[in-house]
Amino acid sequence: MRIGEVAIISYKSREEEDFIRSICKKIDIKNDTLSFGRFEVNDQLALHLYGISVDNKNNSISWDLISRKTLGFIIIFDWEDKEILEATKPIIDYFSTNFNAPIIIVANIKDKKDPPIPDKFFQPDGIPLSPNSRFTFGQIDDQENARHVMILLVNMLIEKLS
Amino acid sequence: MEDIEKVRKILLVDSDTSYTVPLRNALTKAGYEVIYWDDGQKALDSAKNLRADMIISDVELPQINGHTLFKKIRSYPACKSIPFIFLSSQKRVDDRIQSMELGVDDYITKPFYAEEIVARVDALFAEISQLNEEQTQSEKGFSGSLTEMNLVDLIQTLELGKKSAILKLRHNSSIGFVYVMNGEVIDAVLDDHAPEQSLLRMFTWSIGNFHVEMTPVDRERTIQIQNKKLITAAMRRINQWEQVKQGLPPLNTIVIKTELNTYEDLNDEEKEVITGVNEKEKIYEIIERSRFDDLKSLAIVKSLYQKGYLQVTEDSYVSYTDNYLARLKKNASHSKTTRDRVASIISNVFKNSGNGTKMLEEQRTERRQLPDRRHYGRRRDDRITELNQVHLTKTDLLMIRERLS
Repeated sequence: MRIGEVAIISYKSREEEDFIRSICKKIDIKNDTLSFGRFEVNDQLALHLYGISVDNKNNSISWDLISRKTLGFIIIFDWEDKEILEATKPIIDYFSTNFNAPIIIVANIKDKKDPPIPDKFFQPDGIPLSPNSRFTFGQIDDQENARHVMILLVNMLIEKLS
Repeated sequence: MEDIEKVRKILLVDSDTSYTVPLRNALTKAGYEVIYWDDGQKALDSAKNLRADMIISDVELPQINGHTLFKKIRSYPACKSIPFIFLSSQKRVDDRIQSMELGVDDYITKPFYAEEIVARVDALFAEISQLNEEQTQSEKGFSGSLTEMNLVDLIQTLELGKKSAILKLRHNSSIGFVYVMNGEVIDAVLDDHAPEQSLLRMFTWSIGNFHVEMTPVDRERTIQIQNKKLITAAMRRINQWEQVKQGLPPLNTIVIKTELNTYEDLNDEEKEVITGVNEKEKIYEIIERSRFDDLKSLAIVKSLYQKGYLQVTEDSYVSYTDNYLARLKKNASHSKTTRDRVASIISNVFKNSGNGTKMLEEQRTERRQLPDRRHYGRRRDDRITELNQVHLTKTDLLMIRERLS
């Protein structure tokens, strides 16, 4: 069985759980430190999604262990909450500095039908911020949107292998 | 002549007579001798002594399946290089990719026309003949993939051996020539570009093929710059190219114009390029057609992409998969790998040049560190490059993407 691991990170919220539910349909394991979901591609291949909310100071060890073999990171923050945006910046900086994996930064919007920003920012391939990171908007509790974010990450991994 | 007149034997293995009867007839009519079995075990028993020239087998077989049959047959030394074609009712891309990754030469999905199989069999035999021919010519030259050896590698190789050669480079639809005399580049030809401009363009080609013909070169020198300066310029060019390319999808991705048509935020050059884009085009086609320098064209295309004037189409996935399958097929070639062939030729080239190979390796190591430093950026240390290796294969990732779509 081949398994790819992806870390889903958010600050002081449970948005990572919403994201995992959108991809995996359910949370398989949940505790104070992390939430876990499994996305089966076939009987030989699966993705494991680890959700980490960094409001809990005790979880620093777990994400450090996980992220060293992680394929990529998805960092989610609430687009309409400036405080969370500010708090997310050092997290993004931490992961982009310490790990060599693609990062998708997702600005979560509440309702994709009524986006708080102009349509032209919703680029299909995200907005490149650096060779290793892209920014995109999305409604992460929407399955289609969440899958789009995962596809962005997979595309970056394919590019990394090319 | 004897080879041409010899009747080629094809071992056909399939339990479904609705396909095998017309296929046997068509192959026999095309001049092949067909030996037929309806189950994998019988085919395996006969394969050892049969000395077939090709095997065509269904993937789903009674007794042992096609994948096992393929692996067992390829494990016999005498059958190691027999070309192998799979037939299958499975249409899923990951099934195709899995079969191709095993190393089969072709994969055909049912239903099919018998004539289509005959055409593919003919094509495969022709390809093998060409490969054999290339191999027999390997004393005069060598061929390979630009992904494994780019133009800089080739020039350095010839420079160290002070060799004369004509390099033929093929990249998408473009073909270029570089003339090397006693290790020095003296001329380059690519479409109607000036010699130095031709070289600069070819330096950025990382996809495509090359052929090096080791031959005396008697030609007027049009490039006066010494190799050392040339290589420095090339490295700068490659770095610039790679930097500009960041953020764009692979250059063989098909893109379309979006509905944005005001062009208000575009400069004149961007307007000119976007106006010339056809309905659906690969990115490299836009760059190749542009009248601007290729680096500038790349930057313009990137800007158009980022501003939302160009977007990736659904066809890109199909195109990517087809390219991937084509590469797999090429890698599954029954002849020696390109790397092996190049390695053997290079060792011949340097057999009289002392520590030339070591020097070459050192230069390459030094050079390869450059993009790494750039890529991993400012605050990362070497430790970080060891982390987060992608341990899934491209096939795995394609399957994940397909499942997510």
